[in-house]
Amino acid sequence: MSEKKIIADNAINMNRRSFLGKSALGVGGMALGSLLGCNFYQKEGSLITKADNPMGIKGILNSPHHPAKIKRVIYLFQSGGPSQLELFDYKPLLNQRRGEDLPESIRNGQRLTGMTSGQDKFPLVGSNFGFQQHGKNGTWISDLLPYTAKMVDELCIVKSMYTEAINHDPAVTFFQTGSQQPGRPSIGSWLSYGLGSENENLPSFTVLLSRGTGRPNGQPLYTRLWGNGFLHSLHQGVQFRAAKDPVLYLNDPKGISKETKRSILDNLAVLNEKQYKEFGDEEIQSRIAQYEMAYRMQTSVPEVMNTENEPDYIYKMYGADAKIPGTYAANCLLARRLAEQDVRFIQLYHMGWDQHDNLPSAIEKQAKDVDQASAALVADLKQRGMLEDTLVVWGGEFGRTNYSQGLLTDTNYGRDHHPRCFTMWMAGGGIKPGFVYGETDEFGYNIVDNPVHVHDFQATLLHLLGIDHERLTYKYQGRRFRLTDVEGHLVKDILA
Amino acid sequence: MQLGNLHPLFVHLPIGILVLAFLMELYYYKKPAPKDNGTILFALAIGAFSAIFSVASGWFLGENGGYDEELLFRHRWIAVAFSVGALILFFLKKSANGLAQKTYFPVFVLVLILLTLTGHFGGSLTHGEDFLFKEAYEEPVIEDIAQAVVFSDVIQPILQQKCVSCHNSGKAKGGLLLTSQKELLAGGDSGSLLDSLEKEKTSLLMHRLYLPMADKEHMPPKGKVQLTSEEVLLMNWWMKNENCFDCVVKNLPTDEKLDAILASLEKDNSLKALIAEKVDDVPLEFIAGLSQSNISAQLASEEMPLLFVNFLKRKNLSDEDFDLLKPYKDNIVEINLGYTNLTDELAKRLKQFKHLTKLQLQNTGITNATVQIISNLEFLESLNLYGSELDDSALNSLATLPNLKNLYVWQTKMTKDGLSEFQKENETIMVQSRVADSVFASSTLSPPTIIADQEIFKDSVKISIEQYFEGAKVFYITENSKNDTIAKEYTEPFYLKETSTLKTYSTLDNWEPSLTSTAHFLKNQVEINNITLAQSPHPKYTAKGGETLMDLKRGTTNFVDGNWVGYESQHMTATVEFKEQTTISNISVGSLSIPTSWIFFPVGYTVWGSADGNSFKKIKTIKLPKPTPSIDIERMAYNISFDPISLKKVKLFVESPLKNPDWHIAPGGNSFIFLDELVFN
Repeated sequence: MSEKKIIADNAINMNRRSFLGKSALGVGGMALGSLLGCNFYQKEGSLITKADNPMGIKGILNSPHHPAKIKRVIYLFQSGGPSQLELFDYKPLLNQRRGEDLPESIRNGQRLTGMTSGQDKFPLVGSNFGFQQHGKNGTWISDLLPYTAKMVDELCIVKSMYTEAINHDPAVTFFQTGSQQPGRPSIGSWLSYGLGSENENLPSFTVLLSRGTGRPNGQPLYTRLWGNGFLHSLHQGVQFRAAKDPVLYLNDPKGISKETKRSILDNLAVLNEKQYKEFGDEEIQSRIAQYEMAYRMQTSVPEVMNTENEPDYIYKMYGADAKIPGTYAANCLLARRLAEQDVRFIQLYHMGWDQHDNLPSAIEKQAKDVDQASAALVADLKQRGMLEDTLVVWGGEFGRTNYSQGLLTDTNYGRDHHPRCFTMWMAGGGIKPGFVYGETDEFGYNIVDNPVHVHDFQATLLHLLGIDHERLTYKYQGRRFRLTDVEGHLVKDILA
Repeated sequence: MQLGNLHPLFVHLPIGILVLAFLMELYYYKKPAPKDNGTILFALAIGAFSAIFSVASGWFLGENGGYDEELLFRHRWIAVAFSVGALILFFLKKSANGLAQKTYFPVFVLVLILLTLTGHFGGSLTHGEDFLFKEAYEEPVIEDIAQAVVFSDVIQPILQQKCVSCHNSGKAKGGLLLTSQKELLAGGDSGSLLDSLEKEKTSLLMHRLYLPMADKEHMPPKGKVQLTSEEVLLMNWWMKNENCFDCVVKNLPTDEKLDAILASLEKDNSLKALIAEKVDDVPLEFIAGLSQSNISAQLASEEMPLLFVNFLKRKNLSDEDFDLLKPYKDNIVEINLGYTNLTDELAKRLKQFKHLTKLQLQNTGITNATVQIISNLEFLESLNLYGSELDDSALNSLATLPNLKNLYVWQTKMTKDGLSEFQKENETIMVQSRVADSVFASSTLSPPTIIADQEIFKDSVKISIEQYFEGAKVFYITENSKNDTIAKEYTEPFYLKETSTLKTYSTLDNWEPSLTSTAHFLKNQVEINNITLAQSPHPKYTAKGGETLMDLKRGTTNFVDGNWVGYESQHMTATVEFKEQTTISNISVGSLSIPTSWIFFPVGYTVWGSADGNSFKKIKTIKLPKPTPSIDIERMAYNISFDPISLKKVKLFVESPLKNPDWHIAPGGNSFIFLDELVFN
């Protein structure tokens, strides 16, 4: 880049970014701010760093829109599309009519994925696993989930979830960002933007990944799923890995002492501050705050990740896998530890639910991965008094078909993606415990009562956190964006 | 844009200044003018400038949206006209031109009219269109929805909020008034509002509400605040019940949905709402100040100036921290002191927070001494004592808390008996201790891990076994021709000297024993000179060719690790030459199965032997069944046994299934076989 170009760019930046802002402030508006009683000089989404605010990231909202029922969310994302028919949605009719073709009156022109659209028959298939009634209300739960079944009186099971997306990436992106197209902020980023962080030493949005045993080479996930989209990068999710360096690039290189690091950061901050004053680009402030956060995380992260002092009976709850770093069970335990540190949004992903073929053997293992630890997390939060202000969410991006993909034999079958109905559960503050909501038809194909769209789920989640989903917006490229796009209705019926 | 936020402040400047300038002109009109000192000109300049600035700031505020479009349009453009007028006024006053002096007064009057209009529309934008002529209407407060009168308590407030701004005595659009029962019954220019229409099955009122937004007749008109879907449901419910004006809610039939909507109309009688009515607003500076001292405080909501305070697990709390909270102690309804250095002494300071509804004292050093303070918190709904030192004698005091709903007592000194008695006497309180052991009683231990440098060895191989759980016992069984199958307890690493199958599992008190993990170890004493492959492998999976099959390294479950030779839809024939003529009776062939990657175990083997290295004789043929449905990743060392025979060379044919089986996700596709070590004994 030539020197001239740099200067020219500088001039352009000066004009576009700073002119209006600076001239507005020049009037002396700063001083009047407190007179007006509103923090108008704090720009939309502007970040206050350590020096001004020792609490870490400040949210755009001074208070929730209405009183919040919960303070944090643990989202146990079951990536790949768990089969509702094997786990929660009991459909004996499918067992009676096993092998019969799916009636067109039920399918009703539903588009299918390229993986089964070529099939000339759609043989119905019921679950190969038994269902029993559990809990005070006799809720049907699969034998694959013995521990979840024991906690059923704490869960609110929604059987009538639906989505528009039919393939993994758009469907997961839809759940996480409210749009099938990539580029929007993830739920956790919206919360960080809206409410800020309570713990200055940890990010308010953390991510933990695990691979399932059901389909070990399953669909991959992309880091943009926990990305900040057009929000400031300080709001992006931070992935905690099961490795020597849980958070990448956090530790000092060899030979750099803590003091040296501090002095590097201080000097860097001076330079960045100078640059910020010149350009007014808020990403520079983001960067300063991120360096500071990373510095504090050098001690806070190892503390959270060190589960050595967890007593044996805790491992017995979460299951023996919790001793093995990187497993779903270990991540559930970490999720509880992060929740105890006031981290606002803790996102787990467990991959491997995409069981197109050999579903019976795969789902048996996959269910075993998650059953005990998910139930244990709910129980553990409860005994600590945290379930009343935490929301635990369990669910995938879509469901699976009621017909077999590929060959149907006595012991074996597969299921394709099915966006028209699937099951999720939630537990915790503000949600009716021991409650089943929504209903699908006898074929487990269409919703017949109380449908809940992805945007409805998102609106409800925000509502529990005290946020009106229509009012948490960010203006970008001339449009006010929000998590629920232009839709989303609060699911009042499941609120306690 | 933040400039917009200055608008409400600046708009008042031109109003005051210009009106003052006008009054001054009137004052000096008849009076013998003192020497004109330019005061009025100065006032006009400031008035014009502030008008222009108001328009500019207002422009940005308007861009933020959320205003009635029609009103905004009028306000904006009349304001522009007004600012231009104010500017012209300034120049007219300044000018010495005769025409200018003549037009000065009329223009001033015009500017003032514009000013009035601008102000009126601006006021309508912020305070509502009908704010000037609004008839006094007080929204009913519903204490008990069942007893509420449907029309006056439920329907009329909707009409007041969404309809009356146009249908009032001041405006009466369409000849319709909606301010009272009488006027509602009277209807408007289009006739009766409540009688059923002939064409439609509904009344005119509902018909207009139901029409699509794009329809000109839709009410409220596009651009105005619309009824919510809940409000439409309520209107419909009332109309369906013959628009009864005196009915009470409980006497009309409802369904679940209506019940929920109706319930939400009831006055918020929660403790928090009651407390919120009694306390003052909290300035944001107070909250920011607390955060400087590492105390997190959150406002409950926009409407409730209540505070949730979190001491963030600090270990350095002192009296001063509680002093900081004093100015708004009545606003504080939740305090989280969990994991702090709170002691009984410090906890005395909790006395001042009489409005606490939730108190978290988990894992602090407090003892029974603090319970006296807690028992005075009459609003307390949730109390977390987990991990504190309280014992049974504290329970009596807690029983007196009238609002207590959730009590957390895990890991306190309270006894099982004490708690169960307390629970029996206080059924409305959820007493939460440790989740019952029985729920997670059948937890299974994870299997131990077998660690060895190699799976194929010459003389012996060192085996160690690891188990994550301290105190767990590990047992192992070595199955081979010499050992029997009795499990031994593992204490230290040991050596295997024979071809063996090693099985191991672990046990621990209170746990279900783990599953068994299994590993195979092969002894190999036959030295191979070289292995040649008749067909060349798939170009991507050649590894080191024949060498791969004799390097004593077994491939892992990763088929591209360089220890596997792969063939696509093709059989394999390998010729093995020994260093010297050797008596052999067994060949072990390593293979891999990953159905999801189209890799399957071989379905047949044929062995030929040659003592002289030239002429081969068939020794054994094995046919295996086709692969059965599975998606497991598996490795296998298949043993081909035959009568001992002395050989120099062996030729081995490995049969591939060639195509994917019917049950596979891609039936008929080209399948692979992957092979590694050949071990002879």
